[in-house]
Amino acid sequence: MKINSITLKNFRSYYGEQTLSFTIDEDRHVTVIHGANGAGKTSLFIAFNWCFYGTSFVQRKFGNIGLLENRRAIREDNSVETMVEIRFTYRGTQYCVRRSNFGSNVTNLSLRSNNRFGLKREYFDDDASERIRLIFPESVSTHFFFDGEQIYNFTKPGNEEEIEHAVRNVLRIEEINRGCQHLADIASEYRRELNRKSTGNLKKLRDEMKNLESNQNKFDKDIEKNKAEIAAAENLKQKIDTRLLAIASARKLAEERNSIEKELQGMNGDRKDKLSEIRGLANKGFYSLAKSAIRKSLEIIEKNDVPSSIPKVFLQELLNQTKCLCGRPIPHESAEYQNIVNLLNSADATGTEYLVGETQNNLKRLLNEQVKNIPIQLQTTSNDLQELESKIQAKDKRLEKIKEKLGNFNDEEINQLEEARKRHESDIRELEDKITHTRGRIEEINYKISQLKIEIDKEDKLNAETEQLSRRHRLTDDAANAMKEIYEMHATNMREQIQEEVRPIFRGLIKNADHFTEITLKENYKLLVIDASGDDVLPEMSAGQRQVLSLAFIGSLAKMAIRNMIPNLENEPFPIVMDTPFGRLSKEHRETIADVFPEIADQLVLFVTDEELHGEARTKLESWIGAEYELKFTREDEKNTTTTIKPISII
Amino acid sequence: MEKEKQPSVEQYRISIDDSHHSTYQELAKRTDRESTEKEQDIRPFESMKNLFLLATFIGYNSDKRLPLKRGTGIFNWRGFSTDEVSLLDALAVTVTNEIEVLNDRIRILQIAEEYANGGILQIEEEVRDMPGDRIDNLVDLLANWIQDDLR
Repeated sequence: MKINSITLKNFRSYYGEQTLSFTIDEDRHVTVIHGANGAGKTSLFIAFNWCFYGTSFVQRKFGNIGLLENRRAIREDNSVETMVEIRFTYRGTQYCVRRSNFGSNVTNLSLRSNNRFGLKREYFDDDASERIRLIFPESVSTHFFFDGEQIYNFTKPGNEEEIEHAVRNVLRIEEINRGCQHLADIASEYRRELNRKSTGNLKKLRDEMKNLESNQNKFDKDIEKNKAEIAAAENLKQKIDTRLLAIASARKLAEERNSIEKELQGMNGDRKDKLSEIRGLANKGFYSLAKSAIRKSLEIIEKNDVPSSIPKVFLQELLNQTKCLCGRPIPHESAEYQNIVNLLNSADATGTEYLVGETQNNLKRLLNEQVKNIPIQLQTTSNDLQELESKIQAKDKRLEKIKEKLGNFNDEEINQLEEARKRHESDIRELEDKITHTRGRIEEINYKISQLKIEIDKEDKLNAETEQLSRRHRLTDDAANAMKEIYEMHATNMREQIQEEVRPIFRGLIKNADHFTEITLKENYKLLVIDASGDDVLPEMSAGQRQVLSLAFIGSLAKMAIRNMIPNLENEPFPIVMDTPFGRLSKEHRETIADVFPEIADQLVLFVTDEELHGEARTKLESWIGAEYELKFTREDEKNTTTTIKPISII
Repeated sequence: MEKEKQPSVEQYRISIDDSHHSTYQELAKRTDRESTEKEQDIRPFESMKNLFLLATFIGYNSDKRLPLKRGTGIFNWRGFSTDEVSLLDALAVTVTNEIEVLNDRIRILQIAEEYANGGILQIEEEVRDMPGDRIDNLVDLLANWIQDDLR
């Protein structure tokens, strides 16, 4: 972007319409505008800001600036037009931005563009304002339009906020930060919503489920282990039995025991079957308990004298056979046949009559079958079981006897073998008990798991929304964190780049450069100027030295801003407009800056007083100057001055 | 206030009082997998339906008819066999003393639910909570009710 010209019409001290053209020459790119105090330099400076961004921006930046309109023009015509028009070139396109007031507070804004292919466009008011902001954002413009006081304050110790603000704005890291903040706000909103909706039960229930499943696994493993131990004990028992059978004196008893044990195995199997039969019969016990209800209901049905379904069947049968009970024929066409058909049709086959008939038949059958038989079967099976259990008991007794005999045998080996067998049997029983107990525990766990599943299902449904919220929260949170990381990386990168940019510019501008070894911009945006002894000397720096540092900083920021604003057009030129930049500088610094600073900017517009720029400094700047003006002012009365732009030299 | 929607006969589920749901789950065999030997000992009933029917007729014989406070559906009434339905019909005819009740399936089922709600208490006491084998407990309970038939 290069500013071609500014035209002011009845703007503050500028009466009538006056135009100032800036140099856009690549070598002589400095425009110097001289003016004594009160001549209209600041008004011209304000005109830039007003034209681009309007009254409220100007008021924010400069405070109360009084009337924008020229007093003399108002006196002549109450509905006077106040106007500023800036022509500039940006990315090869010529722009003309024009802001005007017509005697009132109504402001008109227009932006005309004419690109290098001759395509002309014109935008007005909000549209125009939007496009200007895209080309030259307000926040960034602050660092291209500098006034003396701003320059002085920029690097003042304790002014970290100003530096941070400048760096963030110019380098567009504020936009990333705003994005981070926005995502963090959304994440926090989701978190609040989650807290409101989540009962927190699901995690508790799932933890409980995990716990139960882990116990279940443990018990399953215990059972497997016990089974393996039983198999080992059975094996040892088997070996003992083989050995006992080999000993002649013990053989007979050992054989008898083996036979009884086999019998018992079968009897225990039968016992199990009988028990299962009893269980089945007991499950049908309700038939017997229904006996009195069945009887009473049958009495009620009979008392109500509802014809059963038998007559219908009977009638149907008469029709099928086409003859009466007495044997007399009932021909198809006869009146009797039709009577029977009518009788049959009048009965509602699905109504009460039918139902009652069906129920009555069923109940009568049940009374003679299940109701009667189940107690008998239960009694019989129970008796069988009892008998079987007596037999088992007798066999058990005989087994005990054999064991006792073998245990007390007059043979040490047999005694020891029997003793070992007993131990194995006892181990097996103990292990079987353990397995039964563990199975019981597993059952309890299974029951709890089934209950828990129901609860989790319910909670899952309740939490369907919460889950969705939770996912959204996680995603937003992750995005916010990722963006924050990017922001931190970008901000660090930007700070480092600024340091790199500032260092050579500062060293080029400052008088005793060797005294300052390092310039550091800390994470908290505190600026440190380190001297040869490693100390931060910024607080002790003179006002002039600080201003040099500010200028170096401004120059660096401007360069960086261009890179950030138009990443694909890093070589796009940008102007720096400075109001009284040399005010607080010593003669030596003025000379150095006049010599070096023009190299920093592609277009430099300097508003200076005569005191600021003379002697050697003026000579050093001379070769850069492409246009030079003087602001002449005439005092009309005590309050009013009028500024006239007088060209001194234009190349 | 919105009127409670009456379920259709086909979809009707037999309800028990919420407070006895755990008893049904504890005493009746699970239907979702094979039962173990141990499970058979602790769950003497082959189904919730068998437990419900026994509770119904214990309730009837002991004249305990308790309305449900808060019902939980446990199975569809179509799970009853024809003979079992006839038993419930007999019960409804007996307690209402009218045969027209046979046309009102839902009413028949609700009568059974209320008697089952009364009868389950004795099952809890004598089968579930009594020490010892639960099948033995069940047989003892039955024996007490049908002792005349056993002689």
